[in-house]
Amino acid sequence: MFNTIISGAFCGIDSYLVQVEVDISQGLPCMEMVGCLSREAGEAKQRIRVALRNTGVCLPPSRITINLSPADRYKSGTAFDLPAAVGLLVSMGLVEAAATKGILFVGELGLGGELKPVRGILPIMRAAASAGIAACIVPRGNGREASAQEDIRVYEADHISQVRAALQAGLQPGGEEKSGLGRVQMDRKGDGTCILSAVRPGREGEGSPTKEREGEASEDFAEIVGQDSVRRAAEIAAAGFHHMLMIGPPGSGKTMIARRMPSILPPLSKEESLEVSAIYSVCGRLRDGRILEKRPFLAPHHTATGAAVIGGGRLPMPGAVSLAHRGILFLDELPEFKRSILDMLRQPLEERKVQIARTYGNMEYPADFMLVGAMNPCPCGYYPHDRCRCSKAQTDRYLSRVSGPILDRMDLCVEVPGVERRKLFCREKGESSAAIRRRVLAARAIQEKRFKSSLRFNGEMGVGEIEKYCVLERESERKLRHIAQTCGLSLRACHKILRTARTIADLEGEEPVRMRHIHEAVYYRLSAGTYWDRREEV
Amino acid sequence: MRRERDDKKERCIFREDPDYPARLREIRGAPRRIYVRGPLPAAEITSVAIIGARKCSSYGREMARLFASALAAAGVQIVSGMAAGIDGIAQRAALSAGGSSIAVPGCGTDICYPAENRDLYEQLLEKGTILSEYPPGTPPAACHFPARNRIISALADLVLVIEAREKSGTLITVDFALDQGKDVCALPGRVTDGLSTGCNRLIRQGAGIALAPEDILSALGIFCRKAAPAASQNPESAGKKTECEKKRQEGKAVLVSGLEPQKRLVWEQMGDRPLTLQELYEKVRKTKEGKELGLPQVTDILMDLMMRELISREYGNKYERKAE
Repeated sequence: MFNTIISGAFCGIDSYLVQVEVDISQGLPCMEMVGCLSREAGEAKQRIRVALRNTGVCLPPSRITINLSPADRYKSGTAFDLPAAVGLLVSMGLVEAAATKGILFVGELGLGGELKPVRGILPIMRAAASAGIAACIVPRGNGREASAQEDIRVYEADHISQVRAALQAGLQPGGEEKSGLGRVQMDRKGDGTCILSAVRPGREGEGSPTKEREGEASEDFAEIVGQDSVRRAAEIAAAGFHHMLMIGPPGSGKTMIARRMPSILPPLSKEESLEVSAIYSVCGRLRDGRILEKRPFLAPHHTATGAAVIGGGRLPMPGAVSLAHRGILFLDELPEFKRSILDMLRQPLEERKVQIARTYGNMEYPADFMLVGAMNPCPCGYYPHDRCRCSKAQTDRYLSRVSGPILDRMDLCVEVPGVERRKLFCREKGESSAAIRRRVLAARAIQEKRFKSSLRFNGEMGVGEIEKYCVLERESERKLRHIAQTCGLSLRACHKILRTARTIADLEGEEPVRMRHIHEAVYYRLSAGTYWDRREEV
Repeated sequence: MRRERDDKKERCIFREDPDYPARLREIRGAPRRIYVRGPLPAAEITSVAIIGARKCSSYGREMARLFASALAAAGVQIVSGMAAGIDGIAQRAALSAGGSSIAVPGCGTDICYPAENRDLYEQLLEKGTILSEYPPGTPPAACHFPARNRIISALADLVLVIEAREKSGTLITVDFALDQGKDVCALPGRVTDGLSTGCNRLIRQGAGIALAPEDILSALGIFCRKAAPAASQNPESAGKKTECEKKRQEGKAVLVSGLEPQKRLVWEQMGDRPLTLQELYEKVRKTKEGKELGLPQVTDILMDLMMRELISREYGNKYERKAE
């Protein structure tokens, strides 16, 4: 007997529905799984056979064929265990075929029949929602993640026998009412035991997002003493999503500042949150299936490989640039990174996405991140100071590891001076993250109003938008031209300055971009030149 | 290392040859043969070696320029090592002032080292001389540099040290110069400045003090065409500056006095020591009038002053008043 169960798979962060077709017919007793499967997907037949037997269902001595359609797409992962098992139950006549209609199944089976969470639920749910699927059954632990997608009722199950019992009892999609509780007991057998629990949609879930908030509060800009110019640059970067580079001697607080940047970033919008969570879901990195609310902060170590930073693997997985999507990618000790890796960042910085081609697929992952770099000005770290003992050649070599194109992408470059020792035990505190964040949010609100939905931040403005939104007075225009000429700025550099100036004006709540905004933007843009520009002009 | 096309024929001259520079022949350890591109150093042209640190301050840069161009204008040839920093700056300034210059690199004359001095190298090929004891194709090596220093000092009548740390390669050249009986002058600097320690020490040991290019010229027995004759005729005007310089300073004074009070305040807070924005901001905040100034305003004023060319930028993003 033949029947079809709906499941889903993902490829990159794209997803599609998979028809799991199960057929039991006369022939030599054997069980086959086909449909371009990876090793772990093909091994499902062993897990299913044992799991069903251990829950009291013995497979008939017939020829069993399971096909995963579309059969030409490479499928990996263990999410097809549950739908295949359910398909078998239907084919064996233990469950009504009609009961499974319109329900999507995903989940891995243990040999005892227990269900285990799988990766990539969020993208699968997106495909399900667009295909008009009404309900889904997922393993316990995936429910909260699945419920982030609206319009689908989500049921969590611990065990295959629960699923079987629920289907036998006639779980009708659309047949039950929503209760005010977060979790409702759905179907009851006569003895009153809970069979499946539905998870109410909504991001809050229950329990502990507050914990995350507490964690957020533990790192605060108030702990940073002095360093006003860096704080200012961080504020501008956060408000307009500009890339930033910090240069300074060891121990001056570069890493400390970078780690505090998430605390002043505007929160993720719902749409952004789903987008970022989908990437984390594919990697299996959503903690407790909770959707991300804070912007991600990724700080790969400088020994990271290309595949770890950009993404890769036999089946390309997202790298740090994609995991930092809509958040911060912090590269500490920038020149210590392999130059090839820094240069790999050029495509994502330009296009805000990465394309990775491997044997098993050509993936495209979003990679719209804010690059925050930190570095010493020379190998010993003290360069302009008398304490520096590096030769000029050493310093040059060190600096040249950061290639021009990467340097050019930095909108803000700021030196972090060493903190004077008398300030070490100073009681006075800096401005708190909350205060800075208020200003950032105000600037963000202005940008939202300006761009509607076309763009998110000033940092993303193209040439057209710059011409439209960064209108200068004639006098300022003349002065900027003068600056560009005397400082040898390229057209791209001028555009970067205008973008930053726009953000500075937004922080001030000022509509036109004034000369003082331009001056500040120029300052932060030119800072890098004093380190890298080695030409001695006469 | 890229080797240059051999369009300017290079000459190899042996110690026995009559063309061999007389100045060089006199010294101990004169190279057996030298490779020269451009005209040979002539004995009758007065030469001064201007040397100093590779990593120099803006003060050193400014002074190297000033001395080199003034000396070149007075017809003095500038000898140096074509290195990064003071060497290159002095040679560039000499060439652009219309003077001539000799470079003694620590590698073959067909190699441009350091690469950032390519423009200088090209200029020297055209208007100056490149002289080396190393055959073409010899790459630069650490051991070549101290050795070539003896040639630099030998080719000069006087060695002027612009900036040097206490332990500096520049001082090797000074040792050679003293050995060869050449005059040594040093540019004084602040006592606390690490880059001037070597110079100040030389002065204590009896080196000439270079306060102005005229000092060097008079040490060489050349009278400056403009300032020096006037000084000899009219002792009162000895301390006075040239017309052009006076005008420039007046213009600057007008520029400064015309500044708005806040800008004026920031300008006044800029000492002679280069400051970072952070340091400047803290200094401004300490004054009575500057208490209300925020960092963005100070940044704005700083950039404004820079665009008015009242202040200049230094390595490490430090700012200071432009030298007068």
